[in-house]
Amino acid sequence: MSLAFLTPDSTLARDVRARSPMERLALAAGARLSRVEGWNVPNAYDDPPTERRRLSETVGFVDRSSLTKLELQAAPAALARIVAQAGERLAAGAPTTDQSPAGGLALDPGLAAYATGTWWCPVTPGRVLVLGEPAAAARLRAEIRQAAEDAPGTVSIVDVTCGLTALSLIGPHARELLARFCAIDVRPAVTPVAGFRPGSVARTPGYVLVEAHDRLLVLVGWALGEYLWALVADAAANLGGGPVGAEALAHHLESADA
Amino acid sequence: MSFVLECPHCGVREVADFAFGGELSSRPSEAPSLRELSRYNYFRRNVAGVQREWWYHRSGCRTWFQADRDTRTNTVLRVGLPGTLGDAPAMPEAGMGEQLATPAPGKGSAA
Amino acid sequence: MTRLPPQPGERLDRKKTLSFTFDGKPVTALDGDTIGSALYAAGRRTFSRSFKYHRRRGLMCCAGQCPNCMVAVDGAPGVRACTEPVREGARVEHLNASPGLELDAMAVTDVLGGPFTPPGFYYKTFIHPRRLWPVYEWVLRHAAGLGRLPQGQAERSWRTEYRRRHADVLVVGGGHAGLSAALAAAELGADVVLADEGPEAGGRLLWEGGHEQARALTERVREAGVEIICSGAALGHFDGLVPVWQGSTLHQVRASQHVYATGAIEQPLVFAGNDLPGVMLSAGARRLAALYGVRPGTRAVVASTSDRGLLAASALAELGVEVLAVADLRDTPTAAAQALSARGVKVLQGWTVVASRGRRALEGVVLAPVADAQRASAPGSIRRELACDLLLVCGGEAPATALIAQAGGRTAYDPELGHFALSELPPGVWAAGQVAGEGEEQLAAASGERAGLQAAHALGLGDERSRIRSAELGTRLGAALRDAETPAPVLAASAMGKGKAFTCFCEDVTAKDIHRGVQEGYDSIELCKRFTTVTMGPCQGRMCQLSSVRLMSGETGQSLEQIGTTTARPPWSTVPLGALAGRPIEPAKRSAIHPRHRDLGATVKWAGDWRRAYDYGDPEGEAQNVHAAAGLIDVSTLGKLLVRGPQAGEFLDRLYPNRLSNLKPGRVRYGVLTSDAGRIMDDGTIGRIDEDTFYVTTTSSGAGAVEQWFSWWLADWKLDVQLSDVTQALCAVNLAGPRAREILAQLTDADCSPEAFAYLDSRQARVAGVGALLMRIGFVGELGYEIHFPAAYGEDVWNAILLAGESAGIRPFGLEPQRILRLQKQHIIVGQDTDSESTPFGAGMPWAVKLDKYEQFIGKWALAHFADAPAETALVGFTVDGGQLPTEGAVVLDQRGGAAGQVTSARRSRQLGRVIGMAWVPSALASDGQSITISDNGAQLSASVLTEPFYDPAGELLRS
Repeated sequence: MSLAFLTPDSTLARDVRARSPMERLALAAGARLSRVEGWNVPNAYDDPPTERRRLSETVGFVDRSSLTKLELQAAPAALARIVAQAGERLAAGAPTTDQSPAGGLALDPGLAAYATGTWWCPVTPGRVLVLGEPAAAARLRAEIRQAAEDAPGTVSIVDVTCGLTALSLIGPHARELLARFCAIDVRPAVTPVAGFRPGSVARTPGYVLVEAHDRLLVLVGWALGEYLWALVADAAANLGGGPVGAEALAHHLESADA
Repeated sequence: MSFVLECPHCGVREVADFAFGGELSSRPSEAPSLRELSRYNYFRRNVAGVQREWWYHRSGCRTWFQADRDTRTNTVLRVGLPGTLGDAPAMPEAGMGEQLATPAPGKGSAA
Repeated sequence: MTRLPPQPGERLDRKKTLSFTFDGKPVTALDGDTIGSALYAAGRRTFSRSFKYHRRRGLMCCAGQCPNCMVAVDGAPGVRACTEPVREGARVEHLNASPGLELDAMAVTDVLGGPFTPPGFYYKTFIHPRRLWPVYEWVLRHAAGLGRLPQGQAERSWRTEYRRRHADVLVVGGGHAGLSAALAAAELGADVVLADEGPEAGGRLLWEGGHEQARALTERVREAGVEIICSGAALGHFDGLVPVWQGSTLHQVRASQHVYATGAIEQPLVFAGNDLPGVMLSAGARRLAALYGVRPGTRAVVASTSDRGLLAASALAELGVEVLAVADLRDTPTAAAQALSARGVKVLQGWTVVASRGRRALEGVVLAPVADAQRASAPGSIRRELACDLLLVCGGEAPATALIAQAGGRTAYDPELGHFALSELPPGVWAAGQVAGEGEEQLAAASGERAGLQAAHALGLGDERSRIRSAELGTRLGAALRDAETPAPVLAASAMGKGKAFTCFCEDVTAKDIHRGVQEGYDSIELCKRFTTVTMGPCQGRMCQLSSVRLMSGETGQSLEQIGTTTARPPWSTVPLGALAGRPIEPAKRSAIHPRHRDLGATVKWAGDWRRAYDYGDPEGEAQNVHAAAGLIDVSTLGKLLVRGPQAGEFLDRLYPNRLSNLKPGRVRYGVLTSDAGRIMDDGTIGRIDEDTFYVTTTSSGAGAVEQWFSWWLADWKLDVQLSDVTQALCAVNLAGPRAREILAQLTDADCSPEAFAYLDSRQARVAGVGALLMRIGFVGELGYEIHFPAAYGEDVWNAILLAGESAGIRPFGLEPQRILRLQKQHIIVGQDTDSESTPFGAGMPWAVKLDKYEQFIGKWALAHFADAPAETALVGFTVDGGQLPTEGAVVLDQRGGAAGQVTSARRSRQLGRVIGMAWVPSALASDGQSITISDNGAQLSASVLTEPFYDPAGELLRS
């Protein structure tokens, strides 16, 4: 038997939604939800121009709890091989425009590797947290399972999508916002882009991933979703920031690319 | 207490990130006498000096590791995964500690 | 008007006025004023009434150090008027005086005071009769104090922002030395934060004529990338973490290197009436004049022990203040004294001040030669009395070493300098400027630069050139210090004649109190501190540490080295507790179903770190409905661990006292977790999902500890096992009751028949379309299914089950009804019915221990011992004969009436029509039908023991 009962399934009937633990607070903040891959996702809040301004001038936070999250555990050597092979398999099927590194992925301590829309985050030499977009979840799972097939020793692949709630802090004040509730040192000289830091976030176990110079992804336990939202919203408001929906984020990322 | 500790995997974090697992002790390898069992369960050396102890990065990578820490100053001399630190630190007052760890006659019962 | 013409370095914008109220009356201020400077300019001299004697106190330090000007601003007490900027419309009120500052009824304590209110007086006098202490206490508490806190959370209108700041170097103190240190370190590439108490950096330069230099240097420092935190008080040094409180923000600065350039604190002189408004520290008067353009007085006398006071006298004269005389404690005139004489100011060498005159404010002072002053009121002594409205005092300067001492630095008394100087610095800590004895004008910059370079070098920054520069500076500083003049040591106290001579202004401790303290035997400084409370007030010893040590020395004949200093503990600066309390947002865990509980009107309470639905308004009815039809409870808080690998079974066998390796896939078993001492740590169920995968549930509160415990042993044993904590990833609900099966059957295509899905079976199936793990377990005693599924579907699956069960009469039930239901079954709750001493044998679960199964499982040796030696007490069920509900924690008596156990749980069961409970009772009474007596708050209840479940003892319903 598998651990299927841990995996959110996007093929469900329409009346069952996967919901972020922050959904109620997002709604209270004026979120308009849309259904993406079986998830209710805040598309926009009341005022899209303000949201875009937050991202470029102060700081916005985006609920990204629907990210697919997989916990891979194996002996260090086996794990490195699985990650390298899974990365290769994913890259092989990726569109050519994607700027993925050629060949397998190698993980350095404290640094996550990004390829084909997936972050590979080393927690310990024997444990990796994989973060992927919900749309690619099935393929990601399949490729990892394939890569793990002939690995020696015990390989554990556990879907922790619903174990960790996630917020992106985006904008020039992203680090300043994080500093309001987290003691992890994310100064660029200490934690560069792709830096991955397990540690206490908002007085609770969590992870911080520096996705880009102005984008921090924080993850804490799912049950702390409302708490994290309340805390971040309070601190962000003091910095002139607030919640941002998927639309404004997409716009921001496009203009960042351009 | 707000010193920092270095997790072998994650690097430096505030001590509040970690759970303290106490000084290293060894579990009896075969059925102990009641007195030995009590000493193992209830008695600690509690040295004023450098001791090797267990720490757990509870808020981070959830790994148990060991640290040599000076209990008087909270200076952490070194950290490492179990079995990587080599010989346990020479405890300056080990004799004293050993003496204290010996239960007084008639006080050794676990029950 | 006491405003001076515009001063070159003043902080004022004279074109703009602000207004605020003091005790209801309007006050006009200039933009840039502090509350203190504005009130002083408006003619106010009395700012507060003292802590104990309700004496008038006025501005003394003008630097936020002494307690004299503490007021309440907009309801918040303990604000120093002398540093608090005026805000338009602020409501300022005095503290500790009734009915008002000018007429304070409690000032009578000052007149009666002296002989009647020595330290310890209250506690010695008002101890009999003891029952009246609450009355005495009320009266005394209202007589003394430093203001009132606003009552209730609603009045806490301000918020504190918490901000973590990592840095390479933290410089505390933004004077000439601190700025130079920050600049030097930043220029070598260090990430530097500089914190200064004042509203702008620059320190003494700002009021001693160097304001342009200070402001230019500050600008350079800022341009070098240093973050300057102004109005930021460093509260303490906690293993390298320095909280800096800046009004609405608490910066928690974690730096690798610390440079303390905290300067020195000008000391008052101890003489009769040394607290009268109009007696001011020399730097206080200079700050008032230079920064705020306020004339501190018109006719002034100066009493000083160093050049600092003499320079202040010159500055005053410059401003047109008439300086009547300068009493210089030293015998020989220095250059500064000669300069004063040249101006025509009378300098009395070897003189000091022995008393002040005046009722509401200073009207005159009495000066005397030092040799004479020591003999106090000896007849025929020479005295000179001068009429004046301002007395500047300068009793030397004590280095502000408190933060360095907290960091692990040491001080030692330097008899040449007459104060406690730094003798040892801990690694990573550097001292610069006056605190290091390198504060004189030409030294401060060099001292700071050198400390900044040293800090940067310690970080691995810098190069050959910077190292040479650092060495040069060291040589230069050493030479300069050798050539420096040594100031004269200060006397213990001058005249001990009539009138109170205060050593501690915060707590109203006089020189005489120290004398009494020593006489009573409190002859060590630490004891005397606790007896008299000297150094324990809001100034944290800034004003009194040195003078109290000197007084102690005079009293005991010990040297100052021998006496040593008290430890200035954090917080070094006054800070509201609210600023340290953290955000008012608690890290609450909530089940993903929680929003639905709120929708359903649940009573929500804390359960460990979770917010949980205790009931939905009718706990007994909810429990009853589980028996009658079906109930649904959210048990998502259960800890959930995956244990995987070929040795997973062996791993669990080593951890649990029962056998788990022989559990068949698809089956579930109860397990109690014990420590190596054989004590119950936690309990839960263990399900086997497949050959290599176990699913372990723990109690809600034990989840973290169990995960930690498992990881710990795994780190030791190094078995081929992987652990995953999926507690929060999965929601779990328990669908229970006689109609549970038919409700579940509507939602799943799994075969729910008793044959296909029996008690203690586990299955994977879709429930309401969602992949789920189902386990038939019976915590509440009815047919029940625990359903575990991804948390993201929490709300929708919960809704679907309630909808499907509507016609069958399903109702949600909370934690409280669950407690009733499980008690009917005598299912224990670890932590409620057990404590750290409980063993599985005592708790009536010998079946959970299989001593023969594995050689060395955790707890085996202790359990083997307990198995042979039965426990003194045992956990049993009971029903109360009279039907009263005992308090949990009530005492169970033994046959002789002694305390022998306690009630751990008790509830009224509507189903059984009885009051039932569980209790630890003496083993002799732990059998069916025994009668026990419960002593509950004086009442004695009689109860009967029952060792098997009250409800469905054979477990037929569970298995149905």
